[in-house]
Amino acid sequence: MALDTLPSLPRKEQLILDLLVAEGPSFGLQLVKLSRGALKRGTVYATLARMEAKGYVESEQEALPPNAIGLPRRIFRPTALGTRVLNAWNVLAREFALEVPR
Amino acid sequence: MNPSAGSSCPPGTLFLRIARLLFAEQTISRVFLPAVADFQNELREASTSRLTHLVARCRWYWALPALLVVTPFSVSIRSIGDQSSSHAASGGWLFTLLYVAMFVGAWSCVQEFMTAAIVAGVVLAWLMRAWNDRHPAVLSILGRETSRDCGKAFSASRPLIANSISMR
Repeated sequence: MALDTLPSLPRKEQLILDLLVAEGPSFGLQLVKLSRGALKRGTVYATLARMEAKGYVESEQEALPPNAIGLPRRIFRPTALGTRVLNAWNVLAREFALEVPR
Repeated sequence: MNPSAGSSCPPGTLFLRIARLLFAEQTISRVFLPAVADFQNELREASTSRLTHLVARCRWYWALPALLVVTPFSVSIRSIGDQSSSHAASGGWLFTLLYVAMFVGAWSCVQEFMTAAIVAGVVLAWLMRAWNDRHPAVLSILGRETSRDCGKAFSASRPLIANSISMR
Protein backbone atom coordinates (compact mmCIF):
# COMPACT_ATOMS: atom_id res chain seq x y z
CA MET A 1 0.00 0.00 0.00
CA ALA A 2 1.50 3.36 -1.02
CA LEU A 3 1.26 6.22 1.46
CA ASP A 4 1.25 9.95 0.81
CA THR A 5 3.41 10.78 3.79
CA LEU A 6 5.87 8.97 5.98
CA PRO A 7 4.02 7.32 8.87
CA SER A 8 4.84 8.66 12.31
CA LEU A 9 4.84 6.52 15.43
CA PRO A 10 4.98 8.38 18.75
CA ARG A 11 6.07 6.45 21.83
CA LYS A 12 2.58 5.83 23.22
CA GLU A 13 1.30 4.61 19.88
CA GLN A 14 4.28 2.32 19.57
CA LEU A 15 3.59 0.90 23.01
CA ILE A 16 -0.07 0.33 22.16
CA LEU A 17 0.84 -1.41 18.90
CA ASP A 18 3.42 -3.50 20.74
CA LEU A 19 0.81 -4.60 23.27
CA LEU A 20 -1.84 -5.31 20.66
CA VAL A 21 0.57 -7.38 18.58
CA ALA A 22 1.87 -9.27 21.61
CA GLU A 23 -1.37 -9.77 23.52
CA GLY A 24 -3.93 -9.81 20.72
CA PRO A 25 -7.13 -7.74 20.48
CA SER A 26 -7.72 -5.80 23.70
CA PHE A 27 -10.04 -3.29 25.31
CA GLY A 28 -8.73 0.15 26.24
CA LEU A 29 -8.68 -0.65 29.93
CA GLN A 30 -6.83 -3.90 29.30
CA LEU A 31 -4.10 -1.92 27.52
CA VAL A 32 -3.83 0.41 30.51
CA LYS A 33 -3.39 -2.55 32.85
CA LEU A 34 -0.97 -4.37 30.54
CA SER A 35 1.20 -1.27 30.17
CA ARG A 36 1.87 -1.21 33.94
CA GLY A 37 1.40 2.51 34.33
CA ALA A 38 2.80 3.67 30.99
CA LEU A 39 -0.70 4.30 29.63
CA LYS A 40 -3.34 6.24 31.53
CA ARG A 41 -7.10 5.85 31.51
CA GLY A 42 -7.46 9.56 30.84
CA THR A 43 -5.47 9.50 27.60
CA VAL A 44 -5.50 6.00 26.12
CA TYR A 45 -8.91 6.35 24.46
CA ALA A 46 -7.91 9.59 22.72
CA THR A 47 -4.67 7.95 21.57
CA LEU A 48 -6.58 4.92 20.28
CA ALA A 49 -8.99 7.18 18.38
CA ARG A 50 -6.04 8.99 16.80
CA MET A 51 -4.44 5.68 15.87
CA GLU A 52 -7.69 4.50 14.35
CA ALA A 53 -7.85 7.68 12.29
CA LYS A 54 -4.29 7.00 11.12
CA GLY A 55 -5.25 3.45 10.20
CA TYR A 56 -2.95 1.73 12.71
CA VAL A 57 -5.73 0.03 14.66
CA GLU A 58 -9.31 -0.99 14.01
CA SER A 59 -12.07 -1.59 16.49
CA GLU A 60 -15.47 -3.12 16.90
CA GLN A 61 -18.03 -3.26 19.67
CA GLU A 62 -18.29 -6.44 21.65
CA ALA A 63 -21.55 -8.31 21.40
CA LEU A 64 -23.54 -7.97 24.60
CA PRO A 65 -25.72 -10.74 25.98
CA PRO A 66 -29.46 -9.98 25.66
CA ASN A 67 -30.07 -8.95 29.29
CA ALA A 68 -26.76 -7.18 29.86
CA ILE A 69 -26.76 -3.74 31.48
CA GLY A 70 -24.42 -0.97 30.36
CA LEU A 71 -22.62 0.02 27.21
CA PRO A 72 -20.85 -2.49 24.97
CA ARG A 73 -17.07 -2.23 25.16
CA ARG A 74 -14.91 -1.51 22.12
CA ILE A 75 -12.18 -3.99 21.31
CA PHE A 76 -9.09 -2.85 19.40
CA ARG A 77 -6.80 -4.83 17.11
CA PRO A 78 -3.80 -3.80 15.00
CA THR A 79 -4.29 -3.35 11.25
CA ALA A 80 -1.85 -4.59 8.62
CA LEU A 81 -0.60 -1.02 8.25
CA GLY A 82 -0.11 -0.67 12.00
CA THR A 83 1.90 -3.88 12.13
CA ARG A 84 4.03 -2.78 9.17
CA VAL A 85 4.72 0.59 10.73
CA LEU A 86 5.66 -1.08 14.02
CA ASN A 87 8.00 -3.50 12.24
CA ALA A 88 9.55 -0.66 10.26
CA TRP A 89 10.03 1.31 13.46
CA ASN A 90 11.72 -1.65 15.11
CA VAL A 91 14.05 -2.04 12.10
CA LEU A 92 14.87 1.66 12.30
CA ALA A 93 15.44 1.48 16.05
CA ARG A 94 17.78 -1.49 15.64
CA GLU A 95 19.63 0.26 12.81
CA PHE A 96 20.37 3.25 15.02
CA ALA A 97 20.83 1.06 18.11
CA LEU A 98 18.15 2.99 19.91
CA GLU A 99 16.94 1.72 23.18
CA VAL A 100 13.29 1.15 22.45
CA PRO A 101 11.22 1.92 25.55
CA ARG A 102 8.79 -0.82 26.53
CA MET B 1 -23.79 -6.66 46.95
CA ASN B 2 -23.70 -4.14 44.18
CA PRO B 3 -22.87 -0.68 45.51
CA SER B 4 -24.32 1.06 42.49
CA ALA B 5 -27.55 -0.90 42.52
CA GLY B 6 -29.45 1.94 44.11
CA SER B 7 -28.64 4.53 41.45
CA SER B 8 -31.18 5.04 38.69
CA CYS B 9 -28.69 5.84 35.89
CA PRO B 10 -25.71 3.68 35.02
CA PRO B 11 -22.38 5.31 35.97
CA GLY B 12 -21.00 7.68 33.35
CA THR B 13 -24.40 8.85 32.09
CA LEU B 14 -23.94 12.44 33.26
CA PHE B 15 -20.42 12.48 31.89
CA LEU B 16 -21.68 11.37 28.49
CA ARG B 17 -24.35 14.06 28.54
CA ILE B 18 -21.67 16.71 29.15
CA ALA B 19 -19.40 15.22 26.48
CA ARG B 20 -22.27 15.27 23.95
CA LEU B 21 -22.59 19.02 24.48
CA LEU B 22 -18.93 19.54 23.68
CA PHE B 23 -17.98 17.02 21.02
CA ALA B 24 -19.11 15.65 17.69
CA GLU B 25 -20.88 12.31 17.58
CA GLN B 26 -17.89 10.60 15.92
CA THR B 27 -15.68 11.65 18.81
CA ILE B 28 -18.27 10.48 21.32
CA SER B 29 -18.49 7.05 19.74
CA ARG B 30 -14.72 6.65 19.25
CA VAL B 31 -13.38 8.17 22.48
CA PHE B 32 -15.99 8.60 25.19
CA LEU B 33 -18.29 5.60 24.73
CA PRO B 34 -15.40 3.08 24.93
CA ALA B 35 -14.12 4.83 28.06
CA VAL B 36 -17.50 4.81 29.77
CA ALA B 37 -18.13 1.20 28.70
CA ASP B 38 -14.83 0.15 30.29
CA PHE B 39 -15.70 2.24 33.36
CA GLN B 40 -19.05 0.49 33.77
CA ASN B 41 -17.50 -2.91 33.17
CA GLU B 42 -14.76 -2.33 35.75
CA LEU B 43 -17.34 -1.22 38.31
CA ARG B 44 -19.36 -4.35 37.60
CA GLU B 45 -16.28 -6.54 38.08
CA ALA B 46 -15.38 -4.69 41.28
CA SER B 47 -18.87 -4.93 42.74
CA THR B 48 -17.92 -7.78 45.08
CA SER B 49 -15.65 -5.60 47.19
CA ARG B 50 -16.67 -2.18 48.40
CA LEU B 51 -13.06 -0.99 48.62
CA THR B 52 -12.13 -2.12 45.10
CA HIS B 53 -15.30 -0.54 43.83
CA LEU B 54 -14.42 2.76 45.51
CA VAL B 55 -10.86 2.70 44.16
CA ALA B 56 -12.09 2.01 40.63
CA ARG B 57 -14.65 4.79 40.91
CA CYS B 58 -12.02 7.27 42.14
CA ARG B 59 -9.65 6.34 39.33
CA TRP B 60 -12.34 6.90 36.72
CA TYR B 61 -13.59 10.12 38.28
CA TRP B 62 -10.06 11.40 37.83
CA ALA B 63 -9.60 9.92 34.35
CA LEU B 64 -12.86 10.98 32.70
CA PRO B 65 -12.45 14.75 33.22
CA ALA B 66 -8.84 14.36 32.07
CA LEU B 67 -10.13 12.69 28.92
CA LEU B 68 -12.52 15.59 28.41
CA VAL B 69 -9.63 18.05 28.53
CA VAL B 70 -7.14 15.98 26.52
CA THR B 71 -9.44 15.01 23.65
CA PRO B 72 -9.73 18.39 21.86
CA PHE B 73 -5.95 18.61 21.66
CA SER B 74 -5.17 15.00 20.95
CA VAL B 75 -7.94 13.95 18.57
CA SER B 76 -7.69 16.67 15.97
CA ILE B 77 -7.01 14.41 13.05
CA ARG B 78 -9.55 14.51 10.30
CA SER B 79 -11.94 11.71 9.61
CA ILE B 80 -12.64 9.73 12.70
CA GLY B 81 -15.19 7.55 11.07
CA ASP B 82 -16.38 10.32 8.77
CA GLN B 83 -14.22 11.67 5.95
CA SER B 84 -16.40 14.74 5.52
CA SER B 85 -15.90 16.11 9.00
CA SER B 86 -13.05 18.57 9.07
CA HIS B 87 -12.41 18.12 12.77
CA ALA B 88 -13.30 15.09 14.80
CA ALA B 89 -13.25 17.09 17.98
CA SER B 90 -15.51 20.07 17.74
CA GLY B 91 -15.14 20.97 21.39
CA GLY B 92 -11.79 22.72 21.03
CA TRP B 93 -13.28 26.14 20.45
CA LEU B 94 -15.76 25.64 23.25
CA PHE B 95 -12.92 24.83 25.61
CA THR B 96 -11.01 27.92 24.51
CA LEU B 97 -14.10 30.02 25.20
CA LEU B 98 -14.40 28.31 28.57
CA TYR B 99 -10.82 29.24 29.47
CA VAL B 100 -11.43 32.85 28.39
CA ALA B 101 -14.64 32.93 30.44
CA MET B 102 -12.80 31.59 33.49
CA PHE B 103 -10.07 34.19 33.04
CA VAL B 104 -12.60 37.01 32.72
CA GLY B 105 -14.61 35.65 35.65
CA ALA B 106 -11.58 35.52 37.92
CA TRP B 107 -10.42 38.95 36.88
CA SER B 108 -12.67 40.85 39.27
CA CYS B 109 -11.59 38.71 42.25
CA VAL B 110 -7.84 38.65 41.78
CA GLN B 111 -7.33 41.67 39.59
CA GLU B 112 -4.21 42.98 41.35
CA PHE B 113 -2.54 39.60 41.45
CA MET B 114 -3.22 38.90 37.77
CA THR B 115 -2.04 42.36 36.73
CA ALA B 116 1.14 41.91 38.75
CA ALA B 117 1.69 38.43 37.29
CA ILE B 118 1.22 39.66 33.71
CA VAL B 119 3.55 42.66 34.23
CA ALA B 120 6.15 40.50 35.98
CA GLY B 121 5.96 37.92 33.19
CA VAL B 122 6.43 40.53 30.47
CA VAL B 123 9.35 42.15 32.32
CA LEU B 124 10.99 38.77 32.93
CA ALA B 125 10.58 37.77 29.29
CA TRP B 126 12.03 41.11 28.15
CA LEU B 127 15.00 40.76 30.55
CA MET B 128 15.67 37.19 29.40
CA ARG B 129 15.55 38.26 25.78
CA ALA B 130 17.91 41.18 26.44
CA TRP B 131 20.32 38.91 28.33
CA ASN B 132 20.19 36.34 25.57
CA ASP B 133 20.92 38.98 22.91
CA ARG B 134 23.96 40.18 24.83
CA HIS B 135 25.24 36.73 25.76
CA PRO B 136 24.51 34.34 22.93
CA ALA B 137 24.40 30.93 24.54
CA VAL B 138 26.79 28.23 23.47
CA LEU B 139 23.91 25.80 23.71
CA SER B 140 21.85 27.64 21.14
CA ILE B 141 24.78 27.67 18.69
CA LEU B 142 25.34 23.98 19.34
CA GLY B 143 21.61 23.42 19.04
CA ARG B 144 21.60 24.96 15.58
CA GLU B 145 24.44 22.68 14.51
CA THR B 146 22.80 19.68 16.12
CA SER B 147 19.50 20.40 14.43
CA ARG B 148 21.32 20.60 11.08
CA ASP B 149 22.94 17.23 11.83
CA CYS B 150 19.60 15.82 12.88
CA GLY B 151 18.14 17.03 9.60
CA LYS B 152 20.87 15.17 7.74
CA ALA B 153 20.35 12.06 9.83
CA PHE B 154 16.61 12.20 9.28
CA SER B 155 16.92 12.63 5.54
CA ALA B 156 19.39 9.73 5.52
CA SER B 157 16.93 7.60 7.47
CA ARG B 158 14.04 8.23 5.09
CA PRO B 159 15.05 5.67 2.46
CA LEU B 160 15.57 3.15 5.25
CA ILE B 161 12.04 3.61 6.52
CA ALA B 162 10.65 3.58 3.01
CA ASN B 163 12.60 0.40 2.20
CA SER B 164 11.60 -1.35 5.36
CA ILE B 165 7.96 -0.55 4.76
CA SER B 166 8.03 -1.59 1.13
CA MET B 167 9.79 -4.85 2.01
CA ARG B 168 6.81 -6.03 4.05
